[in-house]
Amino acid sequence: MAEASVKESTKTEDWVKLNRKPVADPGFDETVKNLTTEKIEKAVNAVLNIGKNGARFMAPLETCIHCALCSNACHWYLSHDKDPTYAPVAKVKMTLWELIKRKGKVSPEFMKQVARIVFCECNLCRRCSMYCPFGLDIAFQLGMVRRMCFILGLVPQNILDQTHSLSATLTQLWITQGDWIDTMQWQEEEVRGEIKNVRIPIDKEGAEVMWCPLGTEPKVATYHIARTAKIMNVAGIDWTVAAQDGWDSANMGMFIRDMETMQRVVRGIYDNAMRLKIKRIVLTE
Amino acid sequence: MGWKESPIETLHPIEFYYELVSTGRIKIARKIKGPVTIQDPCNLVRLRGRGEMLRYLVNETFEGPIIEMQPNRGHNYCCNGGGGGNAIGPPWKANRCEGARIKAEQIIATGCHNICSPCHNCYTSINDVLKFYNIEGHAMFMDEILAETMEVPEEFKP
Repeated sequence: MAEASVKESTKTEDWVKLNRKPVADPGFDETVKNLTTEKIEKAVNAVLNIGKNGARFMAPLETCIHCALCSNACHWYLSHDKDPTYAPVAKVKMTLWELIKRKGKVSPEFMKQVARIVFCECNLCRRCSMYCPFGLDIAFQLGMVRRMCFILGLVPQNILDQTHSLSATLTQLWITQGDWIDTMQWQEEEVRGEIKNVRIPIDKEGAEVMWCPLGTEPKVATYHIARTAKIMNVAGIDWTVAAQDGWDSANMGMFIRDMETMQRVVRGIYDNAMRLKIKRIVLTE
Repeated sequence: MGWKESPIETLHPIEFYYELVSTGRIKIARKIKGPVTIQDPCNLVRLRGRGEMLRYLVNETFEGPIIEMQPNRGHNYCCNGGGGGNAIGPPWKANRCEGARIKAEQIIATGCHNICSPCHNCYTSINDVLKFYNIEGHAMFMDEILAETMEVPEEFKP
């Protein structure tokens, strides 16, 4: 276990810089200018000290035997001619492992590379865990590194903006309640040419099913609403959509591990379901 | 954070559509021609274990045959759009498509033009990958497939 256990280190500049094609993203490039080692240390330790133990972080690190069976499970690794820097174990080694080893005392540039690894070179698909002989939850670990980055604001701009939208409006794309209701009525009218007397019932109390789309659907992909209306009406389902905020099932907070927004999105949907006395919730694809 | 267990049953649309088709509430009038392959969304198949429900629906709506990606079901590769992969935005699109070369190879090996991808992330990502690697074909949502193949009884016709 000697190699696998995490030894402390105080060196801040001794790390492997990856040779990746540069990608300009203000979420990384601008945020990193305002970071300091002190700020990073505080954010990293805030996450590591959850429950005052870090056992969920330490146990996998101490159990991993570097067998690399996770490598061949990863589509990033396979898509890059088996470049070992894309292997799941390497992603943990280059991020969480280093952060624990250095107790969070790392440079902003290092943290920027960490953010790129966890946000832009891993989808948290959990396939690696299926091939790990110990079933270690690598996605959990990289997800918690995402949380450290989120606390620092070191998140790709697009997804951070969508999370801000969810935080402010409970919709993914800054959709107002008026636009939402108007779009549902517009789509009902559209489908009427195809299906007689079709209805998209809004805020119907006691309905059997409440359907929750993603914000992209009323905003840019209204054909999903039309198709769903067609299916629900022909199948004779007693269905509804919620009029109040909390109809959008896109949860960007979950992806960047903004747990506060994440739980508000979920709660918003359940609150609507409870308010309308719904029997079942059907999400979108 | 919220409830310990879901206070109300929550269904993925594939589970809901499976119920509608298997109980006959939706009848299939005509099947889509040509072979079809299936992109197994991680959330639906790897994490929720609904691979067979998805295949039931594809079998009902396509003339087929279903030509499986290798590997498939819970072992299928991620489309590379999940976990925020698409949502990190346009600057990362090329990076994302390069990371999905294995997905392109899987699709080419099936030779299918119809790729059933019942997930917003998979749908977007598969279409981007097809374009990036110049592969003929298109991703298809399940609502799209059902709306096209289902029987619309006379009383619903305007």
